[in-house]
Amino acid sequence: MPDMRWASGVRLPRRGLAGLLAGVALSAGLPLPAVAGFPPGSDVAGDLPPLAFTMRRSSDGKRVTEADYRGDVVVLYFGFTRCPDVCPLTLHNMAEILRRMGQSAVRMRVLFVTVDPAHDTLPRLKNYLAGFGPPPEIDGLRGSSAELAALAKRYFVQYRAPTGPGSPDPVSAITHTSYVYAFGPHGRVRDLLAGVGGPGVDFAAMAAGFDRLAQTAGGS
Amino acid sequence: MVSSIQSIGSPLLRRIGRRAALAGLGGGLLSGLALPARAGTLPLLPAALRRLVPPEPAPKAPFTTGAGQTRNLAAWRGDGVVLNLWATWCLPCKAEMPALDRLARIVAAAGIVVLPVSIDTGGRKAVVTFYRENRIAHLPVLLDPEGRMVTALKAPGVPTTVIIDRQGRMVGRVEGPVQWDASSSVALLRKLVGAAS
Repeated sequence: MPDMRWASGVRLPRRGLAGLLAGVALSAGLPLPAVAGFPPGSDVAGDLPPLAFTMRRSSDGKRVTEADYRGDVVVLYFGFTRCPDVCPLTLHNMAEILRRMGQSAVRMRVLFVTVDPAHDTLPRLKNYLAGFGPPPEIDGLRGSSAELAALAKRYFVQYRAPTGPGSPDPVSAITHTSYVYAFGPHGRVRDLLAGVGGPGVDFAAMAAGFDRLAQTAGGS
Repeated sequence: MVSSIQSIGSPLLRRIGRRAALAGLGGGLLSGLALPARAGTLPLLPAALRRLVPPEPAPKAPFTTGAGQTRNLAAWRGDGVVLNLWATWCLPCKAEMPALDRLARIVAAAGIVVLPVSIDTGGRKAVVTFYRENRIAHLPVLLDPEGRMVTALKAPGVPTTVIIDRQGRMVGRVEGPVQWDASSSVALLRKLVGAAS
């Protein structure tokens, strides 16, 4: 595994994150069967810890933890609403993927975790996310600095706060490479998906991949 | 609002220059709408532009008008085109929209059109509401809710803008917002699209 020393305020170079992915693929031990449709090498099952967080949800203001999402496919994306320069298409593309999933989309929970809680209040988050799709399939999470730091550290998400209106993208490696974390129904991390925010997303393949993951959620 | 400034024709206006006056007005308009407090703070086109050398064919992806008609870029062959991909959830897109609106008026006589294409899934309603609230008067309502233009242009995000010359070739692209109505931006745009035939 490449050196993943965490230090707040230190940008993780993009190569470092790619290294993580490569390292994860190599150290995965017995490979799980790939989720058909997801890019090869995206499996991180067993290499990142199960979903755990405490935050407030923007749709209803309720304090939620991973327990509230047992049985669902959770997709985490870390970002902020006031992109200063170019806005990533990750949420937009995830919404499109949900539309293509059809019925199994009801098991999906795309959770946008703000790394800019000072600016992204719950009402702001709710208003912003309304442009992509309704809860519960698309929702926002906002925590205190400590809650955010804990969740970000858990999944090696680097960010720099606070942000100003002209500040550079605070989620350096993550947003530029558009990593999306996909968790299976028992909170076990399943896939780290790159390029969801970028051009050339294979929507059909991604929808098929999430369909398969959602179908493993069973009847809970 | 802009046309009323022109018709005033005061000596003061001529002295400080129309652009400065527009910037002042734009600043007032923008600050009331929680967009950047001062107009003229976005990057200029000469700095922001990535030239496409050699030029590339313009995308064929269709989009729809607010009235529900399908169009593609071939309809504007002979004109220069500023094709701007944007969304109402995108802050820098909204920040440059007043400048795009002013640009449209400045270059209309030169046969250059500004085509903002929204990828909002909220479609026409989202765009019309935004135009109304921000007093955008010179820009068409164009929609691409399925993001076909995003795919065609391989846009990494929004705003992404491409400049298309009169022969229908992409000659430059920009990622991020631009002060489109600044004189250096307008001058470069005119040069890029080529002389009217």
